[in-house]
Amino acid sequence: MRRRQFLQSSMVMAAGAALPGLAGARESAPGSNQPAEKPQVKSYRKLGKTGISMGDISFGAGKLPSAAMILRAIDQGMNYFDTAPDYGNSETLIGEALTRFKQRDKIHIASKYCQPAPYPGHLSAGSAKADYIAAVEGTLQRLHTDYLDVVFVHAIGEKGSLEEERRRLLDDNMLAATEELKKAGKVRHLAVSSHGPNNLEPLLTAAVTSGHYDLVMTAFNFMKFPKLPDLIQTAAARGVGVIAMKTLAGAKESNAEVGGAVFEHAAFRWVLKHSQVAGLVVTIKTVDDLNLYLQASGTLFTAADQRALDQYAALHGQSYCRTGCGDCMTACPQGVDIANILRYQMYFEDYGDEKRAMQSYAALPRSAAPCLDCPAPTCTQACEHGLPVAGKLQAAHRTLTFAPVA
Amino acid sequence: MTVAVTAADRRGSAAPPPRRVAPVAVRLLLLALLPLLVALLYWRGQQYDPSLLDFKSGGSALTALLPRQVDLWQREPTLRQFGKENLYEYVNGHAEYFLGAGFRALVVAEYRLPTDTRQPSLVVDLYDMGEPLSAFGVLMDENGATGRPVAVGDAGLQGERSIGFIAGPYYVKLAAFADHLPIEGVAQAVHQALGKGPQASGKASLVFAFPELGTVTATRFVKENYHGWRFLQRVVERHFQRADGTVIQAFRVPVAPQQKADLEQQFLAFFRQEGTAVTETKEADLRILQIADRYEGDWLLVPLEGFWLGVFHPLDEDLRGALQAFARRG
Repeated sequence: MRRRQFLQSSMVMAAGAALPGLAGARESAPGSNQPAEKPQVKSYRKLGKTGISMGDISFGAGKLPSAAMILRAIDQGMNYFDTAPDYGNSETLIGEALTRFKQRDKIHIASKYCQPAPYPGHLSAGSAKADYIAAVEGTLQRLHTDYLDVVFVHAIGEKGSLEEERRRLLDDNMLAATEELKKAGKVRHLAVSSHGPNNLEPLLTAAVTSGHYDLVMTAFNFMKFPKLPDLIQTAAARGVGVIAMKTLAGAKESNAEVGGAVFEHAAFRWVLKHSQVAGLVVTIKTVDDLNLYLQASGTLFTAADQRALDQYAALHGQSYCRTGCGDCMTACPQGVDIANILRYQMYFEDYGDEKRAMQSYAALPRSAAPCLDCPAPTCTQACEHGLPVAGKLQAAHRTLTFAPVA
Repeated sequence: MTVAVTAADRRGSAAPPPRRVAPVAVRLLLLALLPLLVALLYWRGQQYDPSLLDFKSGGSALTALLPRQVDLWQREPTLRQFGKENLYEYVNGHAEYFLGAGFRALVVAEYRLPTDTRQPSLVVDLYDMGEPLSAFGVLMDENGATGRPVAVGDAGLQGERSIGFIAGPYYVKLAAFADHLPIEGVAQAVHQALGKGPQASGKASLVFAFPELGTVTATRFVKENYHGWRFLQRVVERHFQRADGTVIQAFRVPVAPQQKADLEQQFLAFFRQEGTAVTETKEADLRILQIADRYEGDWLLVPLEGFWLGVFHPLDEDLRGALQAFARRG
């Protein structure tokens, strides 16, 4: 660990020790057994020109179980928390944690230009400036804070039309609202996130080169992203910070030792070996997740990790729909939103996020219902990774629909 | 030296067996019996039990629970009934979710108003989920995000054109096909009818049996990983407001007798590993574990018969009194 990293680490840990009753509770533990050493964040990296030094492994609060989990994560050195109004009661729970953890300036909170509705609640292009401001005001209220470190235009590329999404990305009302919020001290940095499936690379490149964005958060893992290394280099050259998400490539293995390494650790280390990536955000649902993931902080990618990832790719390569790939998106003459449907199926099956998956699927303008009796599926041939797309879409429709058969 | 003999070798070398033909007398006898056999099959066919052949319209106990008429709504004569084996026909892909949640049976009834010219304007789904906690879990999963509380059954949530509620082990879903229909009245009537059912009485209240900690302000169901702890599943959480405005969160988690020891071991091991003090005290007949938790604050856990009760609050006089009263109520 470099000296600077050590100092930053110590600073956050000292902040954690300021939790009310924290030190006392430890000392008064009935003491026969010493508590196990908890894994800590061991590396902090600069996030572009934002002035933020974020933990290499950071907290995705999409399925936050309690306020206490945030306090626990702070205690273990985490200092960057990603939330959104459409992540259930995540913002409210973080707000609850902030009422106990008084050192707001020691942590960074990112939220989204979204409505507090079932996911996805993104504000669409053409929303009024007042809507963007109201979205942030609502978030601040729920968080019990007076500023956001980062506000995201969220999940760009979710819609098929490049032009429509470009409008959302560079929406005048959104930019004007951001400017006003920055002046009022309510927002510090503007960011954009994308997990595809459409036009991930051109949209994020447009964001990086536009000069409006301070950081980008992109789906990034070992499976397939041909132009992303170019993008993150461009971002680094321009001082735009890069955060990675969807790093577990479908998370089809959990805490499993594959090829001599723990899969999650191998996947994280692969992402973090790219020096342009400041850190990764991963959804943390349990204390076990937190302790497992943090073991990879500050460690180096090894040959055993590569073997683990190769083995994972061999095992799941033909069932994992690559985030951000989008090769199949124009293949369906009926306009079925293939990649998003397969992503929601992944939320249901692999993430266990059944309710969110079904709600998101219900909100899609075109479901996979036509796939059930599609006479000539062209989608399967369109997948260069050999996924049986047609069959997967049929399965996804069966899994994700609740509407009774007429 | 041994030689492996393949099936092909056998086929090639073996001669075909001689063809046997039944004697003429036997063939004539079988022919004579044929009309008798046909007559027997016809007679048996007339004696069939329709519920054995048409599992959708069988006469289960559930069908008897749905009222034939509510105000102006008239129930359609045909009820559709589904079991584990054919639930997928109705929920189209979501059957696994229901089965995993404890589903036993479903009856679907349609109700028609005199003004309904085409399709009936109301559909009532009555799910038997086996136990109140499962019914509550499904209610919250299906309606929790958008539903607003409605006073029907043991817990109810209302959407734009729908009401979901539970009564005992039953989860009931009413869906209207037009705006502004007064479906709450139907929901109440269905709830009353369910009260006559064999399973409904008394059981549901157990899911919501909490000490009197204040006014109930919220109730929710957490399927797994309660507060990030992998060992706490299927939790009912309740928020109470005391007279002084303090909000107290309490929860109850079902604990079967056979998992009691194992769960307690996991619980204690977790906090020991965390370095968190867990102190055991006795209050009358109650065993109380007080946890000095650096993240959750001071809270307590009370192991009881069939479930654990947790309260995120230090043990003060009010709480002590409420717990003792709760224990006395049994």
